[in-house]
Amino acid sequence: MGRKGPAEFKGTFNGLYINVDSNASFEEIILFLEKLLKDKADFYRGSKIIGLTGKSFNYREKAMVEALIEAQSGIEVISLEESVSEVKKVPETLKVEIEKESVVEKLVVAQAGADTHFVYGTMRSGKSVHFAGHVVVVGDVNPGAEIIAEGNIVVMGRILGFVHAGSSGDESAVVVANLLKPTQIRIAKYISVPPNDDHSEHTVYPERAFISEGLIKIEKCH
Amino acid sequence: MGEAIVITSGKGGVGKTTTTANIGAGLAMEGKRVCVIDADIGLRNLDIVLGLENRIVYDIVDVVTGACRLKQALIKDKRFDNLYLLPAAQTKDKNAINPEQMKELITNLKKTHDYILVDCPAGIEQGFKNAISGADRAIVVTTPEISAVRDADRIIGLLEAAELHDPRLIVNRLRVDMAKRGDMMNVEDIEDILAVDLIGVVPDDEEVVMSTNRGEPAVFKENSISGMAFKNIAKRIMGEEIAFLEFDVQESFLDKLKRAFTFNR
Repeated sequence: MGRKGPAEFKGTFNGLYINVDSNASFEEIILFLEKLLKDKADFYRGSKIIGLTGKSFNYREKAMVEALIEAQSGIEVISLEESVSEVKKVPETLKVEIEKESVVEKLVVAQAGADTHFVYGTMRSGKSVHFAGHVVVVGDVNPGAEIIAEGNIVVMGRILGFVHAGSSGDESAVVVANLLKPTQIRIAKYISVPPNDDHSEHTVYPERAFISEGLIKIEKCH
Repeated sequence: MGEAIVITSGKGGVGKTTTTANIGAGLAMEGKRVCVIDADIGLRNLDIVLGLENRIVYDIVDVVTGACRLKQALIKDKRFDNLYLLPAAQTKDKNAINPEQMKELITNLKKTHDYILVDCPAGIEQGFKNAISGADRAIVVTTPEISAVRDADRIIGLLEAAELHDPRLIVNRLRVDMAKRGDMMNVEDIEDILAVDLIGVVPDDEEVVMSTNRGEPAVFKENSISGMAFKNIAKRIMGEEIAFLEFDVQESFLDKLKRAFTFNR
């Protein structure tokens, strides 16, 4: 994998990921990062760290890495949550076949290159996921939690928190959930809040939010 | 080897200190050797609730800085020989100790006590981090208000991140009449959003306010409904059967409370 040490920074459109060697010990990683930051502080100044790949850090390790980075450089640490490292691209052959079907083409191909981030378990208040692709949550999104995805957001559970799909402007993005009762929902540049007098607490069917004629619409999902 | 339990909530004023005092006293009444630690450095309260304020000589900061021995700082309760308090310092702040020191302190206390209860300060900063380090399990206290439940949710997330899994929940200050009318969140609503196991429900009770002001935990009162609730929680912590029947027990005693209310009218 052409890696120079137990950790490296990987630049993406949204910011940097720290890619760590899953076999390296935490001490090795932190010593290496310290040296790397010292040598290249100017180069990374002003950038943002948005995730971690290769390994996940626990609570204390995250705090240590964050403290080190912020003390040694001008890098802002947004998140050190582990992201899915393998990008699952649609194989070339499949893509060619899809392209033949003109109606489906645009939607599927547009999404084929994007990867998907999976979150397992309930997202509690204060938990934040920013991802440059689709986000799938297997669990609830509680009030106070937020998901900001450039692609679609699918929640196998309840959305009670804040969700923003198509955050870089993709108006074809959708939000799907078993129960869609967000504190606020955004798709691309559109913002919507559920009506105040919403007493329909017993909608037990999945719903889908999408943009239609410049408005966020919510409909029953079939 | 004892067990350390942190009592936390995120939001202030939901009853962490009162809960710690009452559960501590409840466990002591069951004959356990208990030490309650006030981790709220700078805003110490647990000593007042236990009525031990005027006995403080040394505090937790003195212990971790080596100004005194651990044994010297422990205050024996007036009522129970097996209940001890390690008070917080009032003139310092949360940065006076760090998680490693706290962990070491709790490890030492575990050798001589069956239960160590840590009264966590409100908030999610240094004081919280200190209080949860060294804990083996956690109890989250909330009241039936959206803001308290929201903070409890955040706290549960942080506890999980700190590898303190499966915290137990206490719903404090429930107004049974209001919950029945639908004017207040009920226990099921709270459980639904927090998705953690309940260890007890404590009804809103004037007795708690009075006993807190007197420095006499409500568990000492034979006929106090909230005291009974705290006593049951203490027993569930000890792993008694009562925990398994939790819901039925709660229901029947809430029903009893409801009857008391109707009777009064």
